[in-house]
Amino acid sequence: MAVGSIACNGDGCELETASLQALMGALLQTLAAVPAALLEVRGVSKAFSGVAALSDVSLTLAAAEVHAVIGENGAGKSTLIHVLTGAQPADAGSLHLQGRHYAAASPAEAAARGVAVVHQDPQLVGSLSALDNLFIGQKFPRLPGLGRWLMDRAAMRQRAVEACTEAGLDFDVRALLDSLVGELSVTQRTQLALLRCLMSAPELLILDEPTAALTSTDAQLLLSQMDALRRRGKAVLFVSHRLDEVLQIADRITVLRNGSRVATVPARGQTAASLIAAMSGQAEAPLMSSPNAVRSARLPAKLLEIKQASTADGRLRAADLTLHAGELLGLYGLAGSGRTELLELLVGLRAGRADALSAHGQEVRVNSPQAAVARAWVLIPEDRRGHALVPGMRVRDNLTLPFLRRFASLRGFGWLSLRRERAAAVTAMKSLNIKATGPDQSVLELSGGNQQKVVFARALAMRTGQQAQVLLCDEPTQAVDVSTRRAIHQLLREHCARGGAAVVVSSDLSEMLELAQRVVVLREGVTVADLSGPNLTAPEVLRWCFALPQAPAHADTTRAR
Amino acid sequence: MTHRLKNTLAGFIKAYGTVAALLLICLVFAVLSPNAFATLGNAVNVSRQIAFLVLVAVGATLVMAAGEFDLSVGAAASLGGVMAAQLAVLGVPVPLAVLFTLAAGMVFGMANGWLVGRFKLLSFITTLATGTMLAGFTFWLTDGSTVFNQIPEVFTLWGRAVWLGLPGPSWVMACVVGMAWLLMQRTPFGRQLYAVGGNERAARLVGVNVMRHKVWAFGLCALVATGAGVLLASRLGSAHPTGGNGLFLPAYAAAFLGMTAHRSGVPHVLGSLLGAATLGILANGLTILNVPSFLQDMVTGAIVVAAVVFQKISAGPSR
Repeated sequence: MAVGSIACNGDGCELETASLQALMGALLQTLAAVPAALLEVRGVSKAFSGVAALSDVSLTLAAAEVHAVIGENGAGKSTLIHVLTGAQPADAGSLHLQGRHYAAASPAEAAARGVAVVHQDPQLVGSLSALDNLFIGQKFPRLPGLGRWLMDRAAMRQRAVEACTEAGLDFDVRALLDSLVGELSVTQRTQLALLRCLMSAPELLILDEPTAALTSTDAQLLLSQMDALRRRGKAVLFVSHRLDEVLQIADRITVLRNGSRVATVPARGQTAASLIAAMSGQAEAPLMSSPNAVRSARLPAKLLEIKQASTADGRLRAADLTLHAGELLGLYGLAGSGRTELLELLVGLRAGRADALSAHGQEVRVNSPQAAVARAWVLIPEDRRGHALVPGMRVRDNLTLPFLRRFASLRGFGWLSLRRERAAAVTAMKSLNIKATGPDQSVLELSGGNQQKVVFARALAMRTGQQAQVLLCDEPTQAVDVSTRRAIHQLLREHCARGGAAVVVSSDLSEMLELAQRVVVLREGVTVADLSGPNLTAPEVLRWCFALPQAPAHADTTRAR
Repeated sequence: MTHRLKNTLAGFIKAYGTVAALLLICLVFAVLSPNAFATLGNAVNVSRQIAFLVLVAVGATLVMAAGEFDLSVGAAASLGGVMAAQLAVLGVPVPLAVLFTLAAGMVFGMANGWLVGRFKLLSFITTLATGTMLAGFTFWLTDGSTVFNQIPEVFTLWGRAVWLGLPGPSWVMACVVGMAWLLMQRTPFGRQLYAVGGNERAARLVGVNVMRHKVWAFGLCALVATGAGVLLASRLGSAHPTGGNGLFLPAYAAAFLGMTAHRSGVPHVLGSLLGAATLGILANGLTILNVPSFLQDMVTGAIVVAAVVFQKISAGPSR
């Protein structure tokens, strides 16, 4: 204004005012066109040990908007949430919340700025009551006077009920306040976690796969609550694998692929098929090339077959798997589809039921890892430090642990020959080109890739005689460098060419298509598809993962049994 | 190769740090009391005094290597003395009485291991409870009184004998330490036991029978602890139903001291021997210097805390 009044003197006055007005008008128009951005993410990037998890991602969230973020496994959704909630700082880029710079360094700071998150697995304390859980980490209402150091439970109760009504949540919180959280159902826990978030009156609510564990009726309740929040002017960031829900509730949809934003589109006019095409980045996948074309000529023996496998916790409900000698089979599914559970069931780490479990056509029982090892079924677990290696031990101790008796006198019950044991460790290290100062180096000092090679070298050395070995690999190339990744691919191919077989679980769909000749798709604990040959394409795999209703003509022939 | 050399060097410094501390303690006592402490006779004395403690500490080490704790070792030692003495008094031939007692102790320990392994119980709580039960049983055996009447002379033979200048308990200690060291370092069982303690899930995944290893570890632990009790009763010529309880805490102090003498900080047999020797030499030297026993306890406790803190600091922030 000061500029306008100074310029407004003499002849130029009218002209100046007119141009100012025009400028203001244009400005107002721009403001009207873009909805007031509550959150603005500009060019955010994040890498983990050189691998980009997010690259140059920008998006805006308006008040009173439900904004969905979708993508395949590893597309960067989780990393985006971590950056938004302060769990992990961004490497580059900037964030603005309500017009002010926003760089939360911790979840507590994010909460203070009005950003709240409900995780897929609600972080609640099972041994405390629902009421206590609502107030953990927050200021407890206290009794007056001398009772200052006591909680005012009546006030807590009242605040919980008030928060519920304010947010327009359509559920009776009073009924479950006194129950222990461990006794609540999954839906009730999700409701409780949501209410806990809303008690701090956030402006932006992030829901990370909140409906993954819910039945569709219960999910509808959550969707209607999201709608209620939207009508109260809150912004909701909704991350989900369930495309029908996304299409039902979201105003806009952002698609991530390989850490980059592919598109942000209004939900209206989109279909599940168009979203899958955007996520996979190809309308039609190229035919994959098999490195071992010879194999298809002969009829290979069935090394392993499991039918109708299920676990008591319901993570696995009806999974079938058949593995032939020489086969490299891919097992694909979204997070929580039961991939890891199926592998763990096969090696006896997890209790469960199966209609039939057979090896070489004969029915077998595998109810302990020892029984699995005896059949040469070896699991390469996802968490190599936590589940595969003994961190306090040397490389050689880790390498020879499963077959130490080979180096002991008296048929394995006498003294160890440390010389022979060491020689075996050195041979194993050489065979996979493991980089270490020697067999006596502590295994923790090795790089992630070399640690994974130790796990593989050990697994391969466990084979005795002419046994056809089955390697069950859970995310075998996760967090390893490129050359190790290539070495592991090569190793798996050679293993299968020698007559062994392997099942590979990977969240990286392109890796799976490159590696496997056949891919079995799991969805919510059920095998839904068995794809090979021309049907083995990225859109086809994703279509089965996301349970698209309309199936193309050849679906019946590709479906498992 | 230089890296490996550096590693070995660092390991040696760590191992010798504890040894150096022990030597320093010896040096101080030797200067303060050249005529009483720094004599061969006293050294032999110390070796006999620490024998019982070393046995219990070695037993505890086996269980700790498997990642568990056995809080019933004191009760097992008490049982050992009372049961063997009582059986001998009742006229059972001494070798048979001792064998039976050792077997009973081993069965008790294996039951501990089975409970812990089969039901995935916390060994802390399990052995606290079974140890309490065993203490009650031991009390019942003698109605709470000390067994000393009519103990045959053969019973006290081993505890009081001296061969080649070394007392009987010292010989037993040397044999048990040697065998336990071989078991832990030179057999598949020992290596697999360490793997169970280092990462139980990984050990199970490659086919190690975790429960069987725990059963044996607890069994051997109780066996050695019971043996320590028998030996103590043989030495004293009497057995009190709480006679072995006093060995429990020092045994764990010795094992923890021993862990500081290892570059990865794992429990190991020679370390426990070293730890027990440190505690024994401290007690011996301070007694010779007429330091009151309450002050001895305070010094001993302070040294254990200092050693553990020192190890944490020198290991750095990386786990």
